[in-house]
Amino acid sequence: MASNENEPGSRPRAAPSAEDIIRAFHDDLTAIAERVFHGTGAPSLDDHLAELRQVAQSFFGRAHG
Amino acid sequence: MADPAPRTDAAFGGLATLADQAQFEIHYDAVASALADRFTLQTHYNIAELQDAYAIWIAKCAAAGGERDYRHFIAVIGLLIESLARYRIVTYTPMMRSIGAPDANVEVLLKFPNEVTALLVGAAIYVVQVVRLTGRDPSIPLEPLVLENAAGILRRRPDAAIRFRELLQLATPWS
Repeated sequence: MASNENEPGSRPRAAPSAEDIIRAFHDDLTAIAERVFHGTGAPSLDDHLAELRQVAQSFFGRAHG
Repeated sequence: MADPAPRTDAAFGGLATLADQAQFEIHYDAVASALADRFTLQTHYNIAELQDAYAIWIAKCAAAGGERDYRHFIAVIGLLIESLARYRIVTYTPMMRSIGAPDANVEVLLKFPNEVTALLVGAAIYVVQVVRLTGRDPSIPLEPLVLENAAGILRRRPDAAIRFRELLQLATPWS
């Protein structure tokens, strides 16, 4: 039985490239950042990474000494 | 009139930066080096494994899809932890000989370096985003046994990462 994925006479649809997949994922994350987190963020990458570092260390409580 | 809340340049600190491989690696290093600094350890990376984890994370997220809502966000973080935990990306070695009883947290980190780092990379991204949204920290300091249990579960079943909030006792702003 013939596949009905493509219209008769049309070319088979090409699989998305890695760049296409990454771009689509980037768009998903951008939409989540806007819809769920209302676009809030850090003023700079350095500030963002400093927040990550602080949070990661906070799981172990306060450092002694 | 009060100034409007500052808007962030999407290039900095936004979730979307994680889709970029270089940024993904920078985020991982930020957390791994923070753990190393906290316990005076040295990090050793296998960059090829980290790159494989990135590729599998992107592929898993693309396959899973989502509605671009909070459930999608949690799934993305769960898949991030799962993908990182499946690879042998990092090891830690002590920089100083310990004096007295060994730190239980250090023992967990040395025993489960990839699992603990994977959990805390995902959890740190989750916490930073939730704090920005709610102003409240959803995390609490973890007992070493809790962290060891979570890491052990992740080693046996990497797909258990989707339960990262339960494993790490994180609160959620979503019912």
